[in-house]
Amino acid sequence: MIPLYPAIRALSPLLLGVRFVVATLIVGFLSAQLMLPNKALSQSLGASSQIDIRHSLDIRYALGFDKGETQIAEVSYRPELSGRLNDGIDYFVSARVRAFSSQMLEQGTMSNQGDSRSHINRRSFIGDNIELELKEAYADIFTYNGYLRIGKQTVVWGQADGLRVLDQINPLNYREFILGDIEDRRIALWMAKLEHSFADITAEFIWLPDHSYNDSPNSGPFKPTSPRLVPRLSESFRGTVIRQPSDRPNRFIRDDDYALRLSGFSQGWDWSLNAFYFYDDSAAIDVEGELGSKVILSPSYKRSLLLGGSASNAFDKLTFRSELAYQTNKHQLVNNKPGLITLNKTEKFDQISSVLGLDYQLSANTLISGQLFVSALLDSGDIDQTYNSATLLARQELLNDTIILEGLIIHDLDKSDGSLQLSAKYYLDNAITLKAGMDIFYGDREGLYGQFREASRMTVGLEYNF
Amino acid sequence: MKPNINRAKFRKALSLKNSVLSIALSFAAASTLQAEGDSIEPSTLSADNIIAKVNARPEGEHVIRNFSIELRDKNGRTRREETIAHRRYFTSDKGEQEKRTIIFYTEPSRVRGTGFLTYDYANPNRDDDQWLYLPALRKVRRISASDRGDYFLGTDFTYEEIKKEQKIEASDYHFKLLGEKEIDGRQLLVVEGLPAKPQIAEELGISKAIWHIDPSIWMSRLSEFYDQNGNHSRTMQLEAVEEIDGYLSSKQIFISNHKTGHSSRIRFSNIDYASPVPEKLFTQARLRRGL
Repeated sequence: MIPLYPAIRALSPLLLGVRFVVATLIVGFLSAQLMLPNKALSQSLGASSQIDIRHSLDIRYALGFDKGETQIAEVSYRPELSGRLNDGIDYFVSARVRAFSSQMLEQGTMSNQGDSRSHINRRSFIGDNIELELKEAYADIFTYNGYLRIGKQTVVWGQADGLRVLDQINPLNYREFILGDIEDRRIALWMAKLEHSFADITAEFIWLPDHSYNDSPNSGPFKPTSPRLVPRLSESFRGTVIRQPSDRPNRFIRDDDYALRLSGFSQGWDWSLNAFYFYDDSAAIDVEGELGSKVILSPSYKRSLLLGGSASNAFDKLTFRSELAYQTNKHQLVNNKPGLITLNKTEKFDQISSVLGLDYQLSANTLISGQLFVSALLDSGDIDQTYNSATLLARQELLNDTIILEGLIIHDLDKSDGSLQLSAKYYLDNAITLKAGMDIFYGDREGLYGQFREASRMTVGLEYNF
Repeated sequence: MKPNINRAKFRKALSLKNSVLSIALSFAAASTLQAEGDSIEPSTLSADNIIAKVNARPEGEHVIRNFSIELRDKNGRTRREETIAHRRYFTSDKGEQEKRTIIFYTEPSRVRGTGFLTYDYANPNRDDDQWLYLPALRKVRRISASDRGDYFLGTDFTYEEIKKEQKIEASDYHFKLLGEKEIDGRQLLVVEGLPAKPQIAEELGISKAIWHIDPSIWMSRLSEFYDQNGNHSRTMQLEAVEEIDGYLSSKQIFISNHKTGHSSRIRFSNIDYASPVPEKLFTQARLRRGL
C-alpha cells in the first residue's frame, strides 16, 4: 500500500514551481509558434539555414521505502534550440528549468556551489524550489575532414555502461547517486574540442578551461557516508569538526584539463587510445586535528594523468567490449591505523582499472549484458585495495517496441553490496512516455551501495515531448 | 544508462536503412531491366530465371533518401518515425563490393539524433559490422548482427527483407513457378519458395513464401509469408514505384502481420541518386557528430 499523504504534501510546495514552469512553457511555446515559426523561418533563411525548436517536460515522483516519504517530486522543462547558419556553422542550446517540492536531495546546494563549480558553470535558483541551468550551448565549425566544437558540452569516452574507466571527461551530479537518467547527471563543461580524421583514424583534442567537478549532496538520502567516499572519525572523538571550503584550481591554462584520443576500426575491431591530463573530479580530503579537540577537513582537487584504451568487436550475437586505464596520483581513502583520529585516511596511489563487457542478443527483443570491473591501487603495500564489481543487465521489448522492461544489478564483489534497478517504459505515442521503476540498494552499510539502503524507492514518471 | 531507444531497435533500424536505401536503388535498376523484360516472354522463364531477373536489378552506386515509417497496432493507434539515410558501395582491397549505410532519426524527438552505421560485406559468410549511436548515452556502440528473420525497428519487416531491398537470396530457397495471376489489371508471375534447409527456415522464420512478380519491373507486387508452423503470417504489398534518376525506386511498401494485427508502411521521399555521397560520411565519428 502506497501512503498517499506524502505525495499530497509534496504537491503543495510544488505548485509554485509548476506555475513557473507553466509560465516558461507559455513563453517557449510563443517563441516557437509566433516569434520563431520553424517552417517560416527556415524558408526565409533559405534551405541552408534551419532552426529547430523542441521542448520536453518530465514529471517524476519517487517514494522512499524506508520511511514512506517523498524522495522526489519534480517537474523539469527542457527547451532545445538548434540550427545551421549560412556559413556552415551548426549550433545547439539547451536549458533546464526544474521545479521540485523541496531541496531534499541537494540541501545547501545554492551556497556550496563554489566548492565544485566554476563561476561560469553554476546553476541559478529561484527560491528554494526552482533551479535553472544552461545544460549545453555550443557551435560546430566545420574544417576539412573534421570540425571544431566550442562551448558548453559533454564528451563521453569508453565502452562501459555505468562503470567509469575512460569516461572521465565530464563530472557528474550525484544528487541521486547512480540513479536517474545519466544524461541528467552529466555536468557539461565549457571546452573546445577539435576532431580531425586522417586515413582511417580519428584524432580528438580537447581543452577544458572549466574547473568544475562532481556535485555531491550535503544532505538527504544520497549524502555519502561510506568510508570509501568520506573520512570517518574515530568513535572516541568528541571534538569539533570544521570543513574548509574546497581548494578548487582556478589558474587559466595552467590548471586547465587537456585530453587526446585516437580511434579507429581495424580488422573488425574498434579501438581507441586515450590520454587525459586532468584534475580528478572527486576531491581528496585531508584531515588534521587531535583527539579531544577539533578536526579540520580540507578538500582539494588533485592533478592526475590517465592513459588507456578501449577495444570492442562483435561475434555473431555476442558483442565484446573492454577498457583499460592507468591513472597516476589517484587519491583514495584507505583504512587507517587503530587509535588515530579517523578510521580512514587519504593516500596517493597509481591506479589501474579495467572493464570487460559481453552483450548477448538472445533475440531481436531480448538483450542480456554483463560487465566485470576490476581496479587496483598500485604500491599499496599491505593494504588490500582492489575493487571488483559486476553488472548484469536484462532488457525485453514488447508490443513492437512500445514497452521496454529492464533490470540491472550492480554488485560489489568485495563488500557484497549492490543495487537492483527495475524499470518499465511505455511509449504511449510519439510524444508521451510513461515510466515506472524500483531502485533497491542492499548489503553492507559501509559499502558503496549499501550506504544507501534507506534510499531504496519506487518511481513513476511521465515524459512529454513537443 | 537507459537509452530512449533500445539496442535491438537500433539494430533493426540499422537494417532498415539498408533496406530502405536499397529498395530505392533496386527499383532504379528495374528500369534498366524493364526493356529486357518487355522483349522476353515471361511464360518461357523458369522460376530460377525469374528470381535471377529480380536479383539483377541495379541499385546505383550511391543514394540519399528520407523514409518515414508508419506503425499501426491492432487498435488503430499509429506512430510515425522519420529518418534520413545515405548508402554507398565501396570496393575493398580485395576487389569485393561492400555496401555502407548510415541512417539518422529525425523524428520523433525522443529518438532524434539516433544513428546507425552498417558495413554489409559481399561475402555471405562474413557478418555485417554495425554501430549504433544513442544520444541518451552519447556513445557509439558496436552491435551484433541479428537473425535475419528478426523484425526490425518495431516494424513487421524482417532484417532480411530490409537488407535485400526487394531482392531474394536465391541460395536460401528451392523455387517453383506456380503460374500467372492477374491482380489490379497486371499479369503477375507467381513463384513459390521453400527454404533450402531447415536451418534457413529457422533463420528466416518462415516455411514458405509466395511472390507475385511483375515482369515489367521484376519486383514482387504482392508477397505472402508463412511461419514455421505453416500459418499465413504476413502479407507485403508494393504500393508505389517510381523511376528516379534513371532507377526504378519503391516509394511505398506496406506489410501486415496477421498474427498480431500490427502493420507497417514505409514511405520513401527525396530519393537522390545523383548527388555525391562522400566516403568519409560512413564513420563512427560522423555518427557521433550527426548529419
